[in-house]
Amino acid sequence: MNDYYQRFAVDDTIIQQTLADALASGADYAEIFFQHRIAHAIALQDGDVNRAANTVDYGAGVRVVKGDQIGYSFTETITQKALRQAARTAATIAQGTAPSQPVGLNLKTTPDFYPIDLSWQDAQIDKKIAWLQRANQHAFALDNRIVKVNISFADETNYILICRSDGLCAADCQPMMRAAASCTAQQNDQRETNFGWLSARQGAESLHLDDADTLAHETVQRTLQLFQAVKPQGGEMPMVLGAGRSGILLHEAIGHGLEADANRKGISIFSDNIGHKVANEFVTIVDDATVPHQRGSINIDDEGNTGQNTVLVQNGILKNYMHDTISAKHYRVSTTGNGRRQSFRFAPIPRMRNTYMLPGPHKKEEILQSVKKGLYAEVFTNGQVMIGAGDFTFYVKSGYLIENGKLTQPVKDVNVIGNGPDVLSKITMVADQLELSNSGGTCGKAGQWVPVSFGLPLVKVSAITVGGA
Amino acid sequence: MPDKTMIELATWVMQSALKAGASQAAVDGYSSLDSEITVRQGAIEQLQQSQRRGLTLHVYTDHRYARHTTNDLAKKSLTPWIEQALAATRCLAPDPARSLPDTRYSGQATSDLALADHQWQTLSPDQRKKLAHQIDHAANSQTSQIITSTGTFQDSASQRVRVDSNGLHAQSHATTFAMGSYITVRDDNGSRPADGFWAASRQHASLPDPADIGQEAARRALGRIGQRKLPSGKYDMIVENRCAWRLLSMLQGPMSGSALQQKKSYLEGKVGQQIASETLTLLDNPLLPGALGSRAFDGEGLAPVKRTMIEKGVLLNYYISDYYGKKLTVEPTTGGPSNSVITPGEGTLADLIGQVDKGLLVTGFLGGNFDTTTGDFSFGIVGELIEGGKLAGPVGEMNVSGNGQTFWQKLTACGGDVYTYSSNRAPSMLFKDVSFSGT
Repeated sequence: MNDYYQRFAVDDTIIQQTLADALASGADYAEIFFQHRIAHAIALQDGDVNRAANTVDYGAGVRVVKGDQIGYSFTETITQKALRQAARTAATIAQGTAPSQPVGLNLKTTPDFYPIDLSWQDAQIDKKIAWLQRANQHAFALDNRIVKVNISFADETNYILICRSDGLCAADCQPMMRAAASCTAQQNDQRETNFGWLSARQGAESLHLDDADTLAHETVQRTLQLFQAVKPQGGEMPMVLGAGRSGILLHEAIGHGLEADANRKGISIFSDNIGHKVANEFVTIVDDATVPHQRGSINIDDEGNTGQNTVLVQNGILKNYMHDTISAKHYRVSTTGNGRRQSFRFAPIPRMRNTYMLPGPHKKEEILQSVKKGLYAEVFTNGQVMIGAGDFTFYVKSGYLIENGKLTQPVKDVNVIGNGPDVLSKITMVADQLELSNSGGTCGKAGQWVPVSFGLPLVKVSAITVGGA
Repeated sequence: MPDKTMIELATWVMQSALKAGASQAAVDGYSSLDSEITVRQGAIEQLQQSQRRGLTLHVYTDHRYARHTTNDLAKKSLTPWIEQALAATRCLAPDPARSLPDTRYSGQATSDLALADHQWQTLSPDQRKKLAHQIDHAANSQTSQIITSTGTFQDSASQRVRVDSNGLHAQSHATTFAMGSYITVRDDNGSRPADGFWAASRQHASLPDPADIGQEAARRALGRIGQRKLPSGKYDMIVENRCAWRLLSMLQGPMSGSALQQKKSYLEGKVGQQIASETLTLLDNPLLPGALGSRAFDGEGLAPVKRTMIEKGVLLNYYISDYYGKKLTVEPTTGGPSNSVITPGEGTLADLIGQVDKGLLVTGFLGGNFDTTTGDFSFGIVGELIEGGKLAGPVGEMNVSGNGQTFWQKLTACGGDVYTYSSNRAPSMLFKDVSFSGT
């Protein structure tokens, strides 16, 4: 606790006074979220590591809650005066006259899902430069049709401290690395571009040249495959999703729809559906904060609640929403540790972490063989959902046609669109091996972005709309 | 109101960087006071007000370049931070294209761009609450099919400064006001479709009446009830003015200097060629008074210049930053769009709809992506069926696909209905024979 107090130049008295100001208008609850984020990014272009962007972000946000109403204010200067001003501004959400008294502050013990040996702050830049150069050299060496390679390496260390009016304090140090590569290849007059990514909550000890080779290899192979790829005929068809990053299907089809703020307001298509059957009995979906070193893992959420493994759908039955403190109180359940925020500049809301499906009963080969004519989706980029209508999309950068149970013609640049409850009910086969994405993504909601990940065994969706030629 | 000391601080940081050994330096500073209030179903859901400050130091040391951003603006923190910034920059490889813009390109606008509403300070917390309540009330009172409605009012007063070691000393102030409403309604099939309406401007008086925002949001949300998916095939397509941003991004991406230099642009080498139908004329205009994309100087400190990017379908200019201009050995224009203005035609959206026998009016896009290298695109859409020149019910769960190389040739007509609540100032646009995927 002392380390964090020192980092944010605060003590019990300052925190107590700030919380007292926050509750002075008779609010139910208040919390202070302190954050110190140190981020580095370097990038290689045209053979040289010749650009970098480094960021220091330091500040605190005060949230005041009255029922389900929120007052919020942040300060980019952590002083007693600035904190108390932020608290008084946020406190205007309540209009009462009876001030509450905060309790004594206690630091809770938290799990450690991402222990590291070497902080990114102590990493040598030479090693990162060597990693990028290795990936670049490997990419160009793989094929002489490669004409351009761009690779970036970003790392951050995010220190957070949460102090609450119920007396609970929680702190965490959150590491993250993310590498991204793009290749452009040229064959006669044709050019194609594809991408690769790698991300994890790991420290600088994780810088291995093998990973640079793997990233380069994946990105180059995906790019070259596009020369033979065509846009498929569009329309409804069966789809098989390759394991791993395909978990974006879950994130969009059901994940956002199960964030509890949407459900308590009645705006999700899954509102009032707890206990209903939404998928076949071999479908179990979780949102899990506890996967070691995974991009979406969190020891604590940004309200100070412990990160948990939350079952969303169990054997086809909808079991739980993902809660923040406000929605947990609304539904009279325990929090699930899903209250997250982009930074101290935002109030927390329910967000996903690592969303994946458990292995099922089928074999990969039998799933592919079951498709007479359809699409195999392999490389995924982005997605979006309208949670009320239930329509969701995800983008397939590359994949294959399936014809009579075999992968045939490569395909590219296809947006896939479906309706969440409908598509879930049409997951008809689930393979017996789960793969989690090794890159995850960054999820946007209500103007805030947080790191997430996902995973999926190889699955078959019996019918979904594919955007084609 | 904006921070009077920011330009002095930015200058101090720039000079400190030079003293610490930088060959050249530039500093971007910003500060703002931002407020937002959302009312849901008659009660305040969230209110937020805060002040932001921060700066970015661009270090050039013997053509080695990095940028460093911090919000810890105490000089005792900045001094070691500047030293670390220099040390970190020296680790990188030199890049001959990295240097400040030539002084003949840099500068700031000399005319008043009307970016700041001088009455902003008179807006009180109670007035903000009242406006948000008015939006929500107008939305909520339209029909009993509403599950939930929201009214949001946002405002911001901000300042940007940029100083550089070539002598640039630029600053500008701006205000932004925005009002919006988002409504969820009940469909008989169990789904809960939603839609909304949003307006933003630099001057408070330019916003619509708050009641109009709420009513328009409710009309659009109710219009989503009963959505269906149509058969795959070719349809004429009208893209409503408010979502033209999606189509504009398909031009802005491949027209950028970075895409061109990195061989990721299907528009490379096409200046002077017909890349769209004659219906398309696109301007980049940073000098439009009061417009959301107008700016006194761009991200590299280049002075704002109005340019025709595409004229009657012929590509005339790219978006070339000073950096990529040096890499490509061409004159810079600007690194990113300001106000993207598509020259309108005549008539209303209803007039355009009247020209279509069988088609789709796209009122929103859902996900999807676009490949700047090849021009391929595929996007989810929501919208309405058009039959015999009339709207015939909502559609959704469909995709539109194509390739930019042929897609822009299909542009047949533009309406006169320019959307002014965005830096993408486009009218509704009619395209013939576009591929949609559905059933």
